[in-house]
Amino acid sequence: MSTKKQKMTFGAKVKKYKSLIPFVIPAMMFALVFSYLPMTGILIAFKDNPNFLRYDVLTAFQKSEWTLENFRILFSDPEILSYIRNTLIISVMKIVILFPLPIILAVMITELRSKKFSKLVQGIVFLPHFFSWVVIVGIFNSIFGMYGPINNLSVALGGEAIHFMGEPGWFRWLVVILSGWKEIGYSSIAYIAAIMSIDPALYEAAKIDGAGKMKQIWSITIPSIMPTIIVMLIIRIGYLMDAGFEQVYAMLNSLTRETGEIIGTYVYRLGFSMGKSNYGLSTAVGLFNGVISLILILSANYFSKKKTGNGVW
Amino acid sequence: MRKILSLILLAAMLLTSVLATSCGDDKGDKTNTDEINYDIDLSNKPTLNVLMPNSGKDIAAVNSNVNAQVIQQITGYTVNYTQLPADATTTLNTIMMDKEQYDVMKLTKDQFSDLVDQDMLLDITDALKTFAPDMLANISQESWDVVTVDGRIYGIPERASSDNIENPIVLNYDLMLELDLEEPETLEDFTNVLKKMTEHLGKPALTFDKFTPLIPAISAAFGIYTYWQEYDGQVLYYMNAPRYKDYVDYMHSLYDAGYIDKEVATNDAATATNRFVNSFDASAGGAKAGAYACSLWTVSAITTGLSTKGIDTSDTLDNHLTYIRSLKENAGDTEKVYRSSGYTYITAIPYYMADRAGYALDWMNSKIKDTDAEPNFRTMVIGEENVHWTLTADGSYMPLNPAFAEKDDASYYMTGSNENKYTDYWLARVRKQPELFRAWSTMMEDADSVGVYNIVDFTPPLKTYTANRANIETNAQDWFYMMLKDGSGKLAEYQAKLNGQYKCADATAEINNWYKNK
Repeated sequence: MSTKKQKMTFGAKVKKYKSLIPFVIPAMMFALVFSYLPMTGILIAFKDNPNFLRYDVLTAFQKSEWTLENFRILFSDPEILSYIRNTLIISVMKIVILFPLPIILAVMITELRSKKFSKLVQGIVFLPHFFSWVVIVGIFNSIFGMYGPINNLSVALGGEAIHFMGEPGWFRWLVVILSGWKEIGYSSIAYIAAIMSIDPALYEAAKIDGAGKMKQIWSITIPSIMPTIIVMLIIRIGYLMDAGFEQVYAMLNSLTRETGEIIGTYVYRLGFSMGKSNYGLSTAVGLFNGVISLILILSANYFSKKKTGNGVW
Repeated sequence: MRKILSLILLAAMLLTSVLATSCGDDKGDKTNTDEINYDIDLSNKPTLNVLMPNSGKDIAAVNSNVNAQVIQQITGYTVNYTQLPADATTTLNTIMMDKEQYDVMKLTKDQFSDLVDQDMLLDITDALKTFAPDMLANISQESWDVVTVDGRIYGIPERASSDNIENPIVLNYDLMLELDLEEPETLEDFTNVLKKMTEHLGKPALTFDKFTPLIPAISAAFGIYTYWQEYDGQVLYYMNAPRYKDYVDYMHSLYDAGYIDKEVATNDAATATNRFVNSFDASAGGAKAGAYACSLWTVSAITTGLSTKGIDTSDTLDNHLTYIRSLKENAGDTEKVYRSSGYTYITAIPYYMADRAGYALDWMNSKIKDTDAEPNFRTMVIGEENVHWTLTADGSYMPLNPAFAEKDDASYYMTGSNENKYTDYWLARVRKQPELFRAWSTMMEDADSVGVYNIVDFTPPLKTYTANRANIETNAQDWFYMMLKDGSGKLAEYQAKLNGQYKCADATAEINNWYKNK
C-alpha cells in the first residue's frame, strides 16, 4: 500500500493533513488520559506496599522501598504457575475448538434459502449471549446435576451418575462447551456481515462455470471473508491470558479448583482476601499478563502479514 | 469557514482536556490533622455525613427510612447517609485517598483492620471520656479490647445482637415418626437415622451447602466446636485439631455409604433448603433430604418452603421439625457446642475529621443512651411501648404486628450497641416468627454452660491473621470437600500446605501470642 507512494517527511505530512489534526486530538487525549497515564501505576508492582491512603501518591511512593519481591513470588509460587497453566490450557482449548464454529455457522446461516427461517435461527442462537453466566450455570445444574434428568436417564439405562460440576477432569471441557453454546451465535455476526457484503456477481459467475455449492463456499465465501477471520483471530489471541473470568468464577467450586482456577479468579480472590497489602502482587500479575498478550498479538500480526498480507495494522 | 470550524473544535478539545486533568487534585485546602477539637458547642449541632455499608436499597430510601427519622428526633442531629457499593474495597480506598468528608464510617471488622493498619483512623481514647460517657458505661471491656491497638481505641465495636447457638441439624420429624425413629444422641444413632431415611427416600438423607466445611453439631462429638479454639492450652485452627482426622473419616464414611447428598460441594444454600423441604413432599422428584445441617436463620426459609407444601406454618411446627444441637461420641459425654458471637461492624472516624469528631461521638453516644428518662436505644431498636411492643408478665418484649415491621431495618442504623440491653430487645425480633423462636429456645437451653466461643471473634486487629484468613479458610474448605469424597488419605499433605504455604502456622502463633497475653 504505502510502499508505492513516495516517502514524505513528518513535517510535510503535518502540513498536508493539518486540517485533519483537530479530529485526531480527542482520540489521542482519550488514549493519553485513560490508557497511558494509568500505566504509571505499573510502578506499584516494584514497590513494597506504598500507603496511598494516608499520603498522596508521590509521598507514598517515596516512603516505600523498591522491591522485586512481587515478581519473585509470581515466578516461584507453584500455585500461581499452575493457575497460569490452567489459564493457557482453557484459552487454547477455547481457540482451537471454538474459533472455527462461528465461521461454519455463519456460512450455514447465509446459505439458508428461506429468509424467515434464517432470521429465526439467528435469533435463537444469539439468545444465550444475553443470559448471565450465573443463570446459565443454574440451568446447566438443573439439567445435568446428579439428580437431574440426564443423570436419571443414565442411571435408568444402567450407567452411573456423574457429578459434572464436581469432576476436575470435566471442568475444562465444560467451560469450553458452555462458552461455545453461549457465544457461538453472537460471534458469528461479524462473519455474517462479511459474507453479506460479498459481490453476488462472483457467485453467478461461478454457477455459470458449473461450480457446486461446496465449491462456491470454498473458493468464494471463505477467501472473501479471510481478512475478517484473520483480524478476529489476532484479536482473540490478544486475549489468550483471559480465559473468561465471569464464567469460570460462576462454575468454580471446592472440587475443581485445581484444574479450574485461572489467573483472573485467583487475582480476584487475592484482592479480596488480602486487601490493600497485595496490590503489588496483583499489579505484577497484571503486568505479566499484559507483556505476554502484547508479545502474542505482535507476533500473530507479524506472521499473518507475512503469510497472507492481512493484518490488524 | 473550514479554518474557523477547526479552531472552534480545537478550543473545545483543549477545554475538555484541561477539565479532565484538573478534577483530580483538590485536596489542598482540607484539614489534615489528628487533633480533636474539644472546644465545641454541642448545642449547635452540624449536619453529619455518615458512610454506611451497602443496604441493598437506593440511598434515598436509606435517608427517608422511618428509623433514620427516629434517630434524628432522638439525637437532634440531621444526618446525611451515604452507602458503599456491595463490592466496597475500591470505593472505600478512593474515599480515604480523596479524604472525603465523612464524620462517621460504619465498617466491617476487616475494613477496620486494614484502615487501622494504614493509620487512617482517629484515636478516640481520650475523647470518649469527654463526649461519650454512655458508650463507656454500656460497652464491655471485652468489646473495647477488639478495637484497641497498642493501648489506644480506634473505633466503636458493635457486638452481635445475641450470642447464639445457631448451627443445628434440622430433621424432618414427619419422616422420623413414619419410620419410628428416635431423636439421635450419639454418632451411631445419627448414622442409623440417616440410613433409614436414605433407604426410605431413595436419595441421600443429609444435605448442606458448599460453605459448610465444619458442621458444628457433628464435629462436637470429636471435640472440635469451632474454627479457632483451645486444645490443651494451645489455640489451634480446626484443621490442625487433634481429632480432625476422625471427623473427616466419619463424614467420609457417611458419604461413601450414600447418606450425604453427592452435590454438597456445589450446593448453594437455596438448593440445599429446597432439597430438605422436598422431603416433605412424596410427589416431588429430584433430590430430597430429611436432614439438613444449616444455620438457625434458615428456619425462616424452611418455614416459607413448608407453607408451599400445604403445611400450616402460622404457629410452631413441633410436629414437623426437630433440631439437633450437637451429637456425642458416647452417650455419657458432656455436651459442648459452638456459640457464635463477635463484632459485625465497627464504627470509626477518619483521622482527617478530627476537628468535628466531638459532634460525631456526641451523636453516637446519644443513640446508645438508655435510661428511664431517655430510653433512646430502646426507641431506636424496638420502638414505642404499646405501639411496637408490649411487656409480657415475665418481662420480655412481645412484638406488636404489623407496626413492629418498621423496626426490621433498625439494626442497620446502629453505630455500636448498648450491650446491657440489646439481647433483650433483639429477642422481640425472634419472637415475631413462632417456629424460629421455638428453634432458638431449643438451641439456647443452658447456653452459658455448653457454649464454646470462636477465639478470633474477640481479637483486636491481627495483621498476619487478617492477611491470610481468606486463603486459610478457602483452602481448608476446598480440602474438606475433597476429603469428604476421597477420604482423609492426603490430610497430612494438606495440613503441611495449610501451615506452610498458606501461613496458618504464622497466624496461629500470632493468635496464641495475643491469647496468652490478654
